[in-house]
Amino acid sequence: MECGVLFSLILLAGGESEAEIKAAFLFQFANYVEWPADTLGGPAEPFRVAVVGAPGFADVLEKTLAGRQAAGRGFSVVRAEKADDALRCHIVYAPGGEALRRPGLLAVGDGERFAAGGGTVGFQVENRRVRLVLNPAAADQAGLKLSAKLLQVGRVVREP
Amino acid sequence: MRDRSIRWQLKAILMAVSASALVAAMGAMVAYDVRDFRKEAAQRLDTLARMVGSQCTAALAFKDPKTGAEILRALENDPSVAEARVETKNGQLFAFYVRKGRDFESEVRLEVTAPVVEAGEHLGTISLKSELLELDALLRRDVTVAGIVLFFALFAAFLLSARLERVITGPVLHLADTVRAVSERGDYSIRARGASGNETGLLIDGFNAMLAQIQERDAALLRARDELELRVQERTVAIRESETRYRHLFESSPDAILIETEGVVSLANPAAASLFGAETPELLLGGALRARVPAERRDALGVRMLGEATFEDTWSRLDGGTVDVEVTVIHLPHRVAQVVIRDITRRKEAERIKNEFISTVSHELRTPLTSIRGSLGLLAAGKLGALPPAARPFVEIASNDCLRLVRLINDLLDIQKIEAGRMDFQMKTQDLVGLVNQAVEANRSYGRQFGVRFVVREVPPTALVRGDGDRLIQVLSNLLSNAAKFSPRGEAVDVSVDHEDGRYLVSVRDRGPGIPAEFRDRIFQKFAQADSSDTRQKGGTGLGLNICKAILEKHEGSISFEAAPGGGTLFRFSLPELAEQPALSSV
Repeated sequence: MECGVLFSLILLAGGESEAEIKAAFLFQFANYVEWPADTLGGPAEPFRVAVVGAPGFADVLEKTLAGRQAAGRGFSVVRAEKADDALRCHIVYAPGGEALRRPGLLAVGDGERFAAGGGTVGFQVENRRVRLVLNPAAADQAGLKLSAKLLQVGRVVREP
Repeated sequence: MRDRSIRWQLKAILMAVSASALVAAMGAMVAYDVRDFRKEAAQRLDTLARMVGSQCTAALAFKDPKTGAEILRALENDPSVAEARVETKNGQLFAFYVRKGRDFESEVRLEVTAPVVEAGEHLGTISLKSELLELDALLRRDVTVAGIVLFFALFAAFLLSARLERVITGPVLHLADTVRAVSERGDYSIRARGASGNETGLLIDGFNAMLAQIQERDAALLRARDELELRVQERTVAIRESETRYRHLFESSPDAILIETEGVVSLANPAAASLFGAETPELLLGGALRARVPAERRDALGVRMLGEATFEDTWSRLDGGTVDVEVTVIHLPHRVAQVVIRDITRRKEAERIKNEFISTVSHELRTPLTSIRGSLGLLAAGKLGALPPAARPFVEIASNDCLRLVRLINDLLDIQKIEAGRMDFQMKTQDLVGLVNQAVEANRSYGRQFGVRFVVREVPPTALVRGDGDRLIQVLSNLLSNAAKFSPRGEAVDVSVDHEDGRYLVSVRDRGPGIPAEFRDRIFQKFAQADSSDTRQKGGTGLGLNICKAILEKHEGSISFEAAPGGGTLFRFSLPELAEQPALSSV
């Protein structure tokens, strides 16, 4: 038998939309990214996930995160018009805009360009699959630690 | 050649027991080993699954199967894992790993499944499969070790069993050898050795005891056989002697002896040959004796009856002559008869001469006696002048003795006639009562001589018989005179006539001394006298009763006597009653 490794290509052929996948990924970041302790607040404080613009996506995200927990904390979705409105959040997803550089803030955007342009994580759609593009230097600047497992899964870019 | 089967059987049993115990122990050991190995392998595989699973969390979380597959590729370092499989929590296949060169023919022996969890988040499951190839190696190793152990253990058992079985089979084989020796040589003096107190010892003791018994019986049997042989020899000699003795008796017997079997002469002695005028006894064999016997005698020879018969006869000889014989036929069982024939020709001749002599003498005596009697009668009657008183008793004595002499001669003549068959009987109807009275009257004077009375008692009115009156009176007179002679003086002689079963019985009873026992058997024979001296005193010929018997037999009558109750003798004769009642004829 010549094929040592087999992996499934039918994974994304399921019923999940791109938005739903991205929402699920946003939830998963809570498990693979380490925030500075002071940014998280008390143990009852939820993870605040901000969606800049794209109110449709915010609806999908709210549905995905409803009732879920990571590391003992719940989630709250913050709908922001501009990136600045989301300064006090832990994760910011800005599909269209520039990356927001702030300590304790995980900046997530669309495309490789977003990560390369100073964002931490970019959602790159290839062959109808959503891939992660990671910028460890940006994470460092924001005081975040990306887990080794996360780095294994995503493609790493260096800031120009 | 000794049959060692019991030795090998025992050895085989010992080996089999050892082998089965060892195999059981080894089997248990291997099974335990395998179970241990499986348990350990399962734990190890479970740990490995959880470890690999934890590395797959990110790949699952971010739906990156390629990375998942790369993580699974790390399993290449563990050749015990045949397949790995990661599924999402929805059960969809996420990543898959198959060991290079995996042989799908070999059976999957172990499969573990573990959840893939990251920070409490259930992401999917991972399962690992293993063929436990090491198990085969382990089994091979265990079996090899067990085989080697078994081999050495059995070898040791074999060496040990050789010593052990000798304890058991030694005595048994010795016993078997003894049995063989005894049965081959027939020597019962051999004994088996050894008595260890166990069952084998018991067997040996029992066998020895049995041998001792057999030996004893053998000896007894031999003794008995020798004794028997000796006895048979003695018997044979005795039988031969006895046979010779009897043969000599048979051969030298003066009487002819013939044995008839089924009516045919089967044996004859030399005397028989000379009797019949044959040259050898063999000439008489095969013939029937009956042919020589007159028809009226054949019943006596007839083989159909058992018993003995004797008769006299005149038989013809082979040379045509005749011979007077006395024949005794003894009938034996199985239609065999012994015939003894005595030649009585000379005896017959002697009798004839004697009879003729008596007859002549009697006749010659009678004539002078008649004249003497007549003369004496005249003298006694005084016809020749009165006799002097002194002569009277002498004349009376002479007269009585003359009468006695006449009677004696008459008796002799009667006997002569009877034997010659020349006595004539005038058979007529007679009244026995009348005859009795006549006889009593006729003998009254004779009775007076002895001082005896005759008393007639219990007489029926008439008793008709057929017979010769004179001869019957002769019989009665004889009985009366006998009774008178033997009665004491002054006694009575009783006479009675009875009727019984169609016969008339006449009884004469005296009160004499009775008849001596030794005389009773021959009282009716000729010249029979109880005591010569005594009889001579009484006077008598000894012929009277013989004549009575002969006369009565001619009348189909019989005579007997018995001791009378109260002393004396009772003579009784019987005559058949006359059936019809014809007119009474005078005597």
